[in-house]
Amino acid sequence: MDSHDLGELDPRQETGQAGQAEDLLKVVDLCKHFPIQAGFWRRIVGHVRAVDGVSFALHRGETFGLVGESGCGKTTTGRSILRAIEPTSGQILFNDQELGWVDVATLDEGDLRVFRRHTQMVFQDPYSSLNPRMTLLELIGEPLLNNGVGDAAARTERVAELLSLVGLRPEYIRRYPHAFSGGQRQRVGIARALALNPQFVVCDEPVSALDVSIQAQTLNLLQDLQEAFGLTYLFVAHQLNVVAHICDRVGVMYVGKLVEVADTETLYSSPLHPYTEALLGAVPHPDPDYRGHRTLLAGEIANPASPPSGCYFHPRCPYAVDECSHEEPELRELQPGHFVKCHLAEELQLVGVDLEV
Amino acid sequence: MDPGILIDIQKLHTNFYLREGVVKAVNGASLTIAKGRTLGVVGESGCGKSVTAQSILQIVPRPGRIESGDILLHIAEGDLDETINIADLNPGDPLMRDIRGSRISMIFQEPMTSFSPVHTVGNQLEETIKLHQPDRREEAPARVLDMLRRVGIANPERNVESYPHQLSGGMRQRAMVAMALMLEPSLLIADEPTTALDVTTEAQILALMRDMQSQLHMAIMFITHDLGVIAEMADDVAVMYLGRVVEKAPVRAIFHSPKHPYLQALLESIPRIQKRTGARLKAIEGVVPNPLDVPPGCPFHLRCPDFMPGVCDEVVPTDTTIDEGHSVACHLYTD
Repeated sequence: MDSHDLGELDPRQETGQAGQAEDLLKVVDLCKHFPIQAGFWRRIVGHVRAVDGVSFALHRGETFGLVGESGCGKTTTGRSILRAIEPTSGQILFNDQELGWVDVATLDEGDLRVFRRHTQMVFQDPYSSLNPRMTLLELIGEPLLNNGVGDAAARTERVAELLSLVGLRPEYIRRYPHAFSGGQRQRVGIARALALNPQFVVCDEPVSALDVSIQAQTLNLLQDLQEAFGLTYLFVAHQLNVVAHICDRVGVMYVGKLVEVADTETLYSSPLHPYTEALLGAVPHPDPDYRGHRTLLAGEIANPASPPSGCYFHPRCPYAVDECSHEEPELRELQPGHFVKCHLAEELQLVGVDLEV
Repeated sequence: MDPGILIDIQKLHTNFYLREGVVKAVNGASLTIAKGRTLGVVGESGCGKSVTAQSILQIVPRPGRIESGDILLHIAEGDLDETINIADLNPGDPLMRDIRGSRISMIFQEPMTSFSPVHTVGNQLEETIKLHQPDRREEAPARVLDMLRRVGIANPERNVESYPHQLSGGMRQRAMVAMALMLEPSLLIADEPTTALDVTTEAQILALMRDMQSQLHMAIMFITHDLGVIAEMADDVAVMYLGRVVEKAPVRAIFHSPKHPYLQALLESIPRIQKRTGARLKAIEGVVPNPLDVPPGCPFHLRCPDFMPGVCDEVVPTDTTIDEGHSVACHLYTD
């Protein structure tokens, strides 16, 4: 998935290839640079390269996970894809059910409205993402109202249906969010996202703020809904165990760049990038017999406003050689479907997680 | 009291008096912390784990207060051998102020909120010495530098002059560990110290805490909701649910032979990195009950798969000993 090759591909001709699932979304060389302003004149003195040349594709009906540590750009990527924030450059090719293949980055107002009817977002914090002054009817019915779907009675009926779909009692329809717990509020957020029957949902850390026992309920709900409605998820998260559970394929980001993409089993059991190995090694296992098996990564995440030269990971990488400090590696497809951005990927023998089958 | 025990909490009740009613945040919890060992306290939000810690330090925020129960602190140093009941002390008692910081110290989830933003890191660390050991204030700057070096802060000579906001999240958490350990306390209470950190930084801080524990031989009370961190850090574990300790055991028994239905369900509900079956997770049905309206009997009976009508919804279960150091509060195990 080298960004340059991908840019020249016409996605329409790529669908239906033998053995490959149909693509729903192709992100090509996506960049989002936030300006840093300083002084009285708010002069731009630099840029935070939050997302810096990210390319990947999503197959219809799958769950694609984006993982990485804070500041790696995973959330900004998710939001840029929905044009919740304006990307700086790059293409976001989306196979819309009404519009066909479009580049979301260049959609005009009218088409953007259509696109947004088919794509939705579930947020991390169920406390701040719901307006406390609106009842569940208003909250979940708002997307219907804004898009002129049905009359008041039909909307009420649809909201009641959505509530039972996400496991809440339809009698709650006139209640306000404060009456619900975090897990229940997250269900409200999911119901709202589903109100318009979207094709594609960006889930931005949807279970990070929830308690363990509620996390499991919410993950199960997301999987049930995916099966029932054939949804495609972009699942942004930092919890590697959650991602292992729910995602079909995973992309690992580090300081605004994708460093490795593969299907979940391959990525977890035989990672090719040293950063993926370090991330997997740092996860605490809920088993005391694993104690002390964690690997420690030295140093801290690079500053995306002034990233290091060459490979951004080289100052922390235990395997770095001279080349890594001055030459940036390309994202290469080393095995079919397994992409890695590392000079040494062929030589290194990295350790993943032993998967139980 | 057993000489190996540092803190012995018996039937602690800490209540919050709200306009809507009384929240029994800690509702008869009993647990012990052994000298030099790590007690992991695990539970979901609202289970009372943080309020238990605040009770030990007598820093329960208003409108909360310790209602009844004992918090016995065992001090044995040279020929000094005494037991203080912290629950009997007034929060403003000079003895309590002496215990805080020098015998028991605490680190928090968000280091930014526990540092003053307008004083340098060095100033705030020196303050602990100036307050507790005024006769040794001359040594303070040197000891601060030494401690910063020990907790792995790069360039301590320069960072001692930094303000907290100038440090990264991981460095700030290191500085907070340094502040908590300045006076070499016998107990460090860590309330979700790594929850706000990234996994690679979390691994660094956990390693640091283990390292400092082996150097200073202190006990750690490690509060978290993350069973992975518990497995990594704890020697002994107390599992809390709705203000009560429902199971206590050494860490291996907690993970390999859990007894309480809540703990069993909790362990099954976490997605594991090694397992990828595509199957659904075993979720615990329902939600934690409203703390203003706690059900009678066992606090978990509304969600329990092994619910026995007439018993679980009527009688509060007491601790049953399963094995040495392993007890559970559940009617399934009472005769």
